[in-house]
Formats: sequence, C-alpha cells, structure tokens
Amino acid sequence: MKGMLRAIRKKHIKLLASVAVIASLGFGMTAGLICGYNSLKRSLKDYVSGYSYPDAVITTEVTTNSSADRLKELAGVTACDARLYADTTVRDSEGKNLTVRAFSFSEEERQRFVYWSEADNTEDTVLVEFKFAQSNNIRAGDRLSFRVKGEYRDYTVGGTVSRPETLAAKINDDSWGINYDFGYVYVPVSLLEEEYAKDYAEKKSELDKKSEDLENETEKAGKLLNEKIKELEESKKLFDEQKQAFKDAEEMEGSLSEQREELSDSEKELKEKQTELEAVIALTESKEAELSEQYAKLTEAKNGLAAIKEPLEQLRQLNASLSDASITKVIEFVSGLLVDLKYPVLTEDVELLRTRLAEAQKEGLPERIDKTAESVADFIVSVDSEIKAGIDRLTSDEMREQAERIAEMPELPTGDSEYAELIALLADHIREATVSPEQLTEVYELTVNELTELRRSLDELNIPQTAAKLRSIDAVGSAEKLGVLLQAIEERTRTTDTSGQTLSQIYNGILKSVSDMISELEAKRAQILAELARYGIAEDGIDAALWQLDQGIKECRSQRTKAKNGLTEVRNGIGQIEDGIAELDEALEKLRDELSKNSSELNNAEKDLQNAEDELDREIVRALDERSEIEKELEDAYKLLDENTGYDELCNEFLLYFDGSADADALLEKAAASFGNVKVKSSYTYADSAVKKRIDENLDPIRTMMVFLPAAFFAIVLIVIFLFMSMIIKQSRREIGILRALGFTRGQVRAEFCKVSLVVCAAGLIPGALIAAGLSMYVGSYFKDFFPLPEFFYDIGFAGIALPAAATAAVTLGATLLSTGQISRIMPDEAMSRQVRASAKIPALLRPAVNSLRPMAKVSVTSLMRSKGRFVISTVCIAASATLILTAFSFIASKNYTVHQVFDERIKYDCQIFLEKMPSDGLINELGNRGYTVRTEKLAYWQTDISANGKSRQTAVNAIEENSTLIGITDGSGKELRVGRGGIVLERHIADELGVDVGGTVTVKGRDLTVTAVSDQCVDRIQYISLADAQTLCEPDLCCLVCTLSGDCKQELLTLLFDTEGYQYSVFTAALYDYNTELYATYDLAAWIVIAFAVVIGFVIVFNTMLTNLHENKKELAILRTLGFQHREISRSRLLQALLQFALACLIGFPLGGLLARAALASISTPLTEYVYVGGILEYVFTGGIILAYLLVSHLISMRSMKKWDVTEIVKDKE
Amino acid sequence: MNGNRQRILTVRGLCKAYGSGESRVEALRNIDLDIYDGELLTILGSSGSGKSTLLNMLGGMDGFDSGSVIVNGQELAGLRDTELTKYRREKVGFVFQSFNLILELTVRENVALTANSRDPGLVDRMIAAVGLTEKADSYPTKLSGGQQQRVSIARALAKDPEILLCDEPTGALDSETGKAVLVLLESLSRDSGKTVVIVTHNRDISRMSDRTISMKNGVIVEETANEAVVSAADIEW
Ligand SMILES: Nc1ncnc2c1ncn2[C@@H]1O[C@H](COP(=O)(O)OP(=O)(O)OP(=O)(O)O)[C@@H](O)[C@H]1O
Ligand SMILES: [Mg+2]
Repeated sequence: MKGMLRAIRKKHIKLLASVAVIASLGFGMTAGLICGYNSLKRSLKDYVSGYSYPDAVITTEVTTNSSADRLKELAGVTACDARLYADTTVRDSEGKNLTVRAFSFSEEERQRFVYWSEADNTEDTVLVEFKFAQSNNIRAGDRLSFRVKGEYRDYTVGGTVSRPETLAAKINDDSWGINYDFGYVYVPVSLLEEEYAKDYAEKKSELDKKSEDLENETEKAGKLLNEKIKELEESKKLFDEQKQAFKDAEEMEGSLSEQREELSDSEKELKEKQTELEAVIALTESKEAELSEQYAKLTEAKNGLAAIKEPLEQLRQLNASLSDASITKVIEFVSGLLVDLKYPVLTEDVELLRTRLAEAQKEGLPERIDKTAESVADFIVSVDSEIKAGIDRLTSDEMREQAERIAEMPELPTGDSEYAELIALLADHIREATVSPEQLTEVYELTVNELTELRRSLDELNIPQTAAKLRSIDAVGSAEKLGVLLQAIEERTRTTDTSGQTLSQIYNGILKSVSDMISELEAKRAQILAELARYGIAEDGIDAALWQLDQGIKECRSQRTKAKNGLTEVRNGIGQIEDGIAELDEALEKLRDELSKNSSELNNAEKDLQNAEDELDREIVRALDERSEIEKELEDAYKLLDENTGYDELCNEFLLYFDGSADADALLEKAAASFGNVKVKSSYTYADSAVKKRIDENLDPIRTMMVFLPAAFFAIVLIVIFLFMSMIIKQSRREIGILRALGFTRGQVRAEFCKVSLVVCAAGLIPGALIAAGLSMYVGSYFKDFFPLPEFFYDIGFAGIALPAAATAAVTLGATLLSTGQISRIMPDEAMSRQVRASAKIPALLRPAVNSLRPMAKVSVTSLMRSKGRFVISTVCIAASATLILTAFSFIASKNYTVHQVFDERIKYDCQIFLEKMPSDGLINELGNRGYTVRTEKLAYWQTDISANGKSRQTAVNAIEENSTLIGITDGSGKELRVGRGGIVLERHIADELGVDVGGTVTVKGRDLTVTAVSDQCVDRIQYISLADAQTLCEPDLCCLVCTLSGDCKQELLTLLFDTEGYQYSVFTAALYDYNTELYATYDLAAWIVIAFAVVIGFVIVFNTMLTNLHENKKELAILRTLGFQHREISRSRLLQALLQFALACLIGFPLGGLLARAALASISTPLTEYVYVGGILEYVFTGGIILAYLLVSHLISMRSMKKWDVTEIVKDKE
Repeated sequence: MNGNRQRILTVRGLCKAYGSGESRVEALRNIDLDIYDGELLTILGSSGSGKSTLLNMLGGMDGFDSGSVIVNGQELAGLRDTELTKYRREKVGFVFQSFNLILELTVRENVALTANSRDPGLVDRMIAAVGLTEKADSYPTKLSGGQQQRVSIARALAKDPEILLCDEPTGALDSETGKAVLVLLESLSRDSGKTVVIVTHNRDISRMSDRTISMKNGVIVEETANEAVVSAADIEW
C-alpha cells in the first residue's frame, strides 16, 4: 500500500504540486486582499469611533457666540460647537505660498487631535494637517507666516495632526477643493479674530439697527396685546350664557326619571300574572298528554283483541277437524301398510311384466302362474289408476283454494328448520322408492282383501289437503322453498308410495303448528285482557272507558284555551309598558349626553378661558422679559464692542449635534432660520452618520476591487482545484484497481488518498497564509499612509483567512472523497483494464465528421476528446484569467480615460481662482499685464434646480464665455460646442432625464432657456449657459476665473491674489491631478495585484494541463513517432488545440471581463461623474497577448519535453 | 550463397549502451552484420541479450553510440532526428512485440496512417493480404491479439518498406495464431521477395528462416545458414 501510494504520488507529483501552488496563490491573494480590506475597514472605524462627528454644519458670516447659545436651545439640538475659520494664506520658511483653511480651536480640543509629530513648545502654536504638511514638507517646529490683516506674522508649527474630518475622501462632488495646495490648519482664535477685526464697524451699525428695531417691535406688541384682552372679555360673557342653559336641562332630567320609575312598577305586576297563567297552561298540557296516552293504549288493546278474534276462531276449527280421531286412525293404518308395501306405478313396468308372462305362457308354464300374473297386472293397473286419480284430486282447484285460505291465516309458526326437516323427510322417501316384482308377488295375497279398505283410507287421508296446508306455511314468504316442497309431495304421490310414517309425521307437524299458534294467540289475548284488568276495565267495558277519557281531554283543552287568551292580554300590556320605558330611556339618554357634552364643553371653555388669560399674562411678561433681555444683550454687545474685548466671542461655523430621533433636515432648516439677519452662507447635514457615510464612500470602491474581484477569482480557483484533484484520482484508476484487487478496502484507499490531499492542502495553505499575510501587510501599509491613519490594525480574522482556507480544504478533500468513492466502487478488474483509455467517447453527432478526417487529424481530435475534461478545465481557467486580467486592465484604462477627459479634454486651464463676486476686468487685465496669465475667462457656478416637462433635477450649471477655449464642451463625436445667449448646453444624462432635446426649453432660476446642444463627454454632468445670461440670473454660488499660466509663476500669482479684494482661494489643476492620481492608485493597487496573480495562476494551470495532456497521450504520440511522423507534425496539431483553447477563452473571458469592469467602474462613479467603460482594443490585445504568450510558452515547453522522449522505451511495454 | 545477393543493410562495429556509471548497460557490443535483399533472417537470443536493441537500431528508433548502420547506401550514424524520422517513415516497416496500434483509429486508418503510396486501393489490399477485410472498419480494441498483430504487419507493409523488422511478432500470441502470423511473414518473404527480419527467442521459429543469428550479452555469438528451411506451417512449438 505504502509503496503503491508512493508510486501514485510520484506519478502525479507535478499535478499535486500545481494544485498546491494554485491553492496557495489563489488562497493567498484572496485572503490577503480581503484581510487588507477588513483591516482598512476596522482601522478606519476604530479611528473615528471615539470622535463624534457633527450631524450638521452651518457656516455664516462672522457673528458672536450667542448664536450658538440660541442654537443649543432648539429642541432636538443636543450640542453646538462654534468656531471661527478663514481661508487664508501662509508662507513657509522658503517663501512658498500656500492656501489654508484655518480653524480656531479651544484648549480642550487640543487633546482630541492625533499628533503625528509634535514640537516641544506647544504654547501659542498652530497645528497643521498631517497629509498637507507631508506633501508640503512642513514639520513640527517650522515657522509659518500667516497673513493677518495684510501682514505676515510668524507662528510655530506645534505639530502635524489629523482628525477624522481631515480624512481623505473619495473624489466626490464637493471635493474639488481638496488638493495638496490647500490644507487644514488649526490656529489660536486670536489669529483669526484679528483678521476679522474689520468687522467691528459693521457690527456696531448692525447693533444700532437692532435697537431701533426693538423699539418698533415693542410698540407693535403692545397694540396686539390690548386687542387680545378685549377678545378675552367677550368670550367670558358668552360662557356665562351657556352655563345657564345647562342648569335648565338638568332639571328636566329629574322629572323624566320619576316617570320611568312608575312604569317599571306596573310592569312588574303584569309579569307576575303572566307567570301564573303560564303555569296553568303547562298543567293542562301535561294532563292532556297523559289522557291521550291512555286513550291510545286502550284503542290499541281493543284493536289487538279484534285482530286476534277471527284467526283464533279459524284455527280452532282447523284444529278440531284435524284432531278428529278417525283421521288419526286412518293415518296409522296407512302408515303400517305403506311400510311394507311398495309397488310400481309405472305402466312401462306393467308392460314388461305382461311381456314376461306372455313368454311364460308360450313356454307352457302352469296355468296358475298365468292366472296369477293376469290378476297381478289388473291389480297394478287398478292401483295405478287409483293413485293417479288421487293426484288429480290433489291438484284440483278446490284443494288449492282450501290451502290458500289457511295460508292467509295470521301468525303461523315459522321455523325454517321445521321446513327443512319436512323437506328432508320427503326426500328420503323419494330415494327409498324401489320397485320389486318379487315383493309384489309376495304380498299379493295379503293385500287383495284389504285393497278396498286402502282405497277408502287414501280418500280419507286426503293427501292433497295436507299438502295444501304445508303450502300455506308460505306466510313468511318462502314461496320458493314451499314450492319445492309441494312439488316434492306431488311428485311423490304421482310416482311412488308415501311412507305412512312420513305422512303421520307431516300430519303431526301440522297439527302441532296449529295448536302452537292457537296457544300463542290465546296468550296474547290473555295478556291484553290482563293489561285492561290492571286499569279495572273488562273486555266489554272498553268503549265506556274510551268515552270517559275523551271527555277528560276535551275539558283540558278548553281550560288551556282560556289561559292562553289571558296570557296574550297580559303580554300586550307588558309590551306597551316596555315601549313606554324605552321611549323614556331614549329621551333620558339624549338629555344626559347633551348634558355631559355641554358640561365638558363648558369645562373646556372655562379652561380655555383660564389658559387664554394665563397665556396673555405670560405673553405680557415674556414680551417685557424679551425686551429687557434684548436690551441687555444689545447693551452687552455695545459694551463688548466698545471695550474691544469681545473677539473671542466671534465665530462663523457652527457644528451641530442632534438628538438621534430628530429630523435632521427640518432641524437644520430651523437652525438656519434662527440666525435672523446674520447671513447663512451654507448649511448641510451629514445624512445618517456622517462618519459612516464618508468611510463607506471610501470603502465601497475599494471593496469592489479587493473583495469581490478576488472572491470571483477564488471561486474559479476552487473549481479548478476540485477538477484537478478529481482528475488526479481518476488517473490513478488503475492503481486503485490494483490495490482493491490486492484486497485493500475502500476505506483504506480513501484514507490514503485523503492523507495525500491533506498534505497538498497544507502545502497550499501554509505558503498561502504567508502570501496572505504579506499581501495584507503591504496593502495595509499602503492605506495607512494614504488616509493617513494613526494606527493600523491587521485584521486577519475569520472572514479573511479562515473562510477561504476552509473552503480550500473542503474542496480538496471533497474532490478526493468523491472521486475515490466513485472509482473504488468500480470492480478492480474493470479499473485495471487498459480499455478504459481507449473509450474516448466521440458524441454520435460528431462521429461522421470525425471519421471523415485524415488519420493524423483524427488522432488529434480523439486525443482532445479523451482529455476533454481537462480541456474544459484549462479553457475555463484561461477564460477566468482572461476575464480578470481584462477586467483589471479595462478598469484602469476606462478610469484613466475618464480622468483624461476631465483633465485634458475639459479642463484646459491651469488654475481656477475663486472670488466672492464676479471680478472686474481690471483684475483680469492686471494678471495679463504682469505676464502671469496667458488667457483668462470668467466662470460662474450654481448648484440649482433645472426643470422641463414638469420634471425637475438638481444639477450644476456653469456660466462661461461664449467663445470659451479653456472649458471644452464636446458632443459625442468630440466636436466642440459653444454656448450662446438665451441658450443652454445640456449634458446628455440630464437631457434624457428631463426628456428634452435640442430646440426644447428648460427653466433655470425662473428663466426659460433654449437647449442649443447636448454635450456628451461622459464626465461632469454640468450644464453650460453664457455669462451674458448669467448676469440676468441671481447671484451665483461661486464665481471664479479660469486661466492658463505662463510658466512657473504660481507663487507670484498667489502673492498678487492675496492682496486682491474678494479673493477666496485658488485651485491648481496640477495639484488636483496629483491628488486624484494618488486616490486612484488605491483602486489600481488591487487591480494590479489581481492581474499579477491571475497571470501566475493562469500560467500554472495552463502549463500543467498542457503537460499532463501531453503525458496522457504520450503512448499514441510515441507510436506516431516510431512510425516516422515528424516532431513538427505532432507539434502543429497540438498547437492547433492550444489556439482553439485560446479562441474559446477569449470568447468567454472578454465579454465577462467587460461586465465586471463595468461593475467596478459603477462603484467609483458619482452622480456628477460617470466612469464609462471604454473597451479599448489595447486592453483586448494586452490580455489576449498575455494569454497567448503563456499558451505558446506552455506549448513550447511541452514540445521540448516531447523531444526528450525515448520512443523505444515508451512503445516497449503496454502501459 | 550470400555472395550473389545484394546487401541491403550493413552493420559495422555497432555499439549501444544505456545509462551511465554504475547502472551502465552495454546492450550492443561491436555488432557486425549484413542483411541481404529478399532474405528471411531470424535473430535468436535469450531475454536481455540485446535483440530488441539491435532491431531498434536498425529501424532508426534511436541513435547509437558508435559504429555504422548503412541501409541501401544511407548511413544512419549521425543523422539528425528529422532525418532519422524520415528514414523510419519511408524505409522501414516495424512490427512491434506489443502491436502498438493507435486505439482511436480503425484498422483501415491505422494501416493508412503511414502509407506512402497514393494508390487508393493499397490499404485495402494490405488488409486483405492479412485477411482482415471484414474487420477493416473495426477499432483495435475489438480485435484479438493475433488480429491486432496482423493489422500491425499490414501497417508496416502499407508503406512498401525496403525492409520489414519484426520484434517478437508472436510473443503475445498463442501458438496457433502465432503460426498464422508467421505463415503470413513467410509468404511475404517468399512470394513478394521482401527482406524480413524476425526477432525471436524461440529456436523452433528460427527454423523457417534462411539464416539465423544468435545473440548473447549484446554480442553475436553464432550465425547459421539454415540448410533445411522448414515451412512456417510445419513448425510446432
Ligand atoms: N532504455 C533502456 N535503458 C537501460 N537499459 C536498457 C534499455 N533498453 C534495454 N536495456 C538493457 O539492454 C539490454 C538489452 O535489452 P533488449 O531489450 O535489447 O533485450 P532483448 O534481447 O530484446 O530481451 P527480450 O527477449 O526480453 O525482449 C538489457 O540488459 C536491458 O536491460
Ligand atoms: Mg525484446
């Protein structure tokens, strides 16, 4: 066993090794990427879990902290942090200009930052966001010059920090501002307050206006209050009137209640009487029933007696006639006689006798014999005729009638057994009937004298009558049976003798029956009479008793009728009373309802009045309070302003924290409204949990690339492992057969193979785990830097490692168990036979085609068929590799295409300068004159609703110059589009959604614009209008200049801009591009890893299949070689196979890859930017090239190995 | 007797060794041999004596270490694989001990596989010659051992080889079937004048040949011209 398995292992070592390799790579990649993803997810969540992110943010113009206090008082707002921020500029030690958003922070907040680096002295320092610091080479301890009130002032960088709000986000719709030129810094509030000192004057005039407003409002409020007091008094009067009406109604209710009482009393009386009458009726009814019963019984008795009377009479007569002594005598005699005398009755016999006698005469016998014979014959003839006459009589009508009369008699005894007995007796006698001439001769002398007597007796016996009696027993309906009986008697009387004894038995039976019947009827009669006697009634007293009973019944009935009439009257009375009561009740109920309603109404009214009064009082107090409060506030504000110490009260950003159950949108609206005449610049909520959402936004596309793609690949790898393992075991068919033939059990075989597969599994999983660990570390460190995260947890958990590992083990073992189970079930001799190899089944459909091939081609086709399982596996694998490689390539290419569309096609400017208002031409000229810009265009932006055909969409609208060259809008074919006055260029998706096309009309900000063109550039769903039109619309959300720069003048440009009125910040296309590239690299990372693994795994699979395929067909190929076929002929046919496989793989893999790539792109698309799938020829060529390359390499290697074959050795033996 | 016949195959100083070092086996040692046109030659020897090796060398199945093999004026030594293959394809008919038919091809296709001639009737004639016309469209697995061996002979003949080399053609057969195969080979030699070399370890069989070569340990130990050739049909073993 051991040796054999070693042989098997040796035979398949390459395949086993490749299973291990495939498993380790597939498992390693999947587990590595999934663990990497899980680690990232966990690290992000851990990072933000301790940080409570605001539910909503409101930015306003600069105001005081009192706004925050007001916000805190709103129901649903749990907390509100206020801070001051400003977009400003800093200069680093090398003089480089940087744009920053500087936020104020409190001492206590200082603890909540994550410090990446820290300077020793943390007093009065600024903190710089880590990523920004890193990309601009700013370190803790560096000096940064902040521009404050037009002057630069130095601050020390106290540290580089991060907090969840600084997390890099997915490129979403409002993150265009995020780039490495623009960063978050956290500064002491004093720095910002100075910047905002210029607001003082504005503040003061504002306060003045407020106090004026207050006076006016107070006066208005006073008037309003007086009106309200008057109203209140009027309602009081009304209330008193209502109260009086209520009292009247209460009195009426009292009198109605009394009436009702009376009525119920009389109803009670009537009900008592009703009960009495009902008792009488019941009594008479029961008595009548009793009497009726008696009457019925008596009548029954009378009828019974009458019924019995006549049959009894008849029976008695019959009995009398039957019991006549003379008949008995005759019967006894005949009985005696018949016992001995049996005589022939058939004339044929007589004839025979006569013939014999005649013969005797001829021979001359003595005369005496002659004479005797003569007389015997005469006798026989006479007896015969007598009997015949008897039979005739028996069947005569008269006799039948008599019999039928008896039959009609009631209640004859009816025992079946009795009839049976009679029938049996008669049958016996029929059987006994024999004819014996000798006997006749013998008795001749004895009977001659008595013959006359006999004839008489027979007459008296009257057999037919007896038979008729028997027939009458038909009372129970056994007509058939009696018919048989009768026939038997008739037959018997006709053909043979009747045994006297039998006759006597029959007679006695009948006699007994009759007397039994008589006694029965008499008993019945006696019973009835006895019953009557119990009631003291004699037989003749019955009629009198009946009359009496009838009288009693009649009396009962008349009594009841009377009672019933009385009852009806009483009931009517009760009904009337009840109606009366119901009426009263209804009236009462109505009255009471009304009363209670009125009373609650009155109560409410009273309360309302009270409340109104109280409210009014309160309102007055409140108004006074409010006034004095505002007065005080104003006074304080004045004081603060005057004392010039109130700056640390300034703020312009409010971070709101809501009660979990609050409706965020509504609350935000309320909060924004509470600012009164302080202008709100922007307000937005973070739907659900903001942190969660931002993290999810980051994680979603990464998950697609790092979990779903590898998982899909892993599924295919598992299938391959399954098939490979099955294949290995199926190829060991012969060895298993030998083992089984040698007596090893199936279990032993299976156990040994399981050991092998466990080893393979371990050989796959252990390096796989190492690969996974390495990969997840690599991915992890990558993400740690990218986001950046202060700590990174390596989450090598169940889902990442254990699940794929378990799946691998399960599949390997499963395949082993299944296949060994299958194969070891085949009988050993079958398993060992070589014939199996020859049974490459060619489907019947293909057979004619295959048979028509040239032999060489046929050999190659059949070898393909033989290894078709492996062919399919390797094709699937190659297709899978192709799918994944193409997916990854297409993803990268499509994404790059979109990025290219944005940065090269649409954005042709280098810099976008954001300003508070649309800039004057002066600024544009100055930029040009100084030689900073080559070309400058204005651009305005709205995020607004655009509607058409009753539909409305929120979207971005840009206003650009009519002959803009810096912002490229193109249609689907790449043709540049222009905007014109009164027109709008719609983006294709938006046009489709709104259902408009060129020539249609859409409404923007209340203005109708004609659609002049539809742009189709797959990115940035922005609509374009002309700047000229923009001026007639409302203020844009953003105003900016876009420009191309001349050379490296970024710093000079910024210096100039910082001194420009209304300047906000600039975005440089290059910086934006760098940032995006880094973000995209996070997606590309996984794509490249997938490509790398797909290529390697694919190669291992394909290489192995090609080699084993070759091995499988080694014998045939070697024979061909010995027969003189050239190496290249064989090589060519195998290359064709490989190419076929390549074509199939591409056919399957390419469309699938396209689909997967589309899904991956969808996961990174945003509402503004759709990452379209660009099925470039290049990706197909690349993918196809890789696949083809490893097919060719595998082919070459396998052909080289074929060259090394020693053909003589291969063809020498059978195996 | 041999003098007036044309030499079709000349072997001089042929050496072949397998393996190296400890496991080196010198299968053939300095073999000299001439085979004449139309001759029926048997090579006799016990198992492991080098018969098959010699036949393989003659058939161009493998290269040899030293010496020369000249077939109809062509030297096999030093031929490249392609040329050696070409030689196998065109000159030699080889009948293997274990048939070596291609199981996926029918009898006809197996025979047609190496037929050099374009004559369409040739294949069928060869099949008829070995008496398998009825089985022409059967697959080898459906044939008996003797029938397979006959297919293998037909295949060797179909290319109209200059020399027919048979390695233990009866080795896998019972004596009755084996005899039928031998009768067939004999008739080829006698009637068609083919040069036939038969390897066997059975001395009885060698009686049907014109000449017998005996081998032992890779050396030809005896060469006898058979004075009384016995017809294959009369051989018993
Ligand atoms: N491929 C090989 N590798 C190593 N040694 C070999 C090889 N082929 C043959 N030999 C050795 O060469 C010697 C001759 O073998 P060969 O097959 O010629 O014997 P043979 O005479 O045909 O025997 P048999 O009658 O059993 O077929 C044997 O000792 C054998 O072990
Ligand atoms: Mg041999």
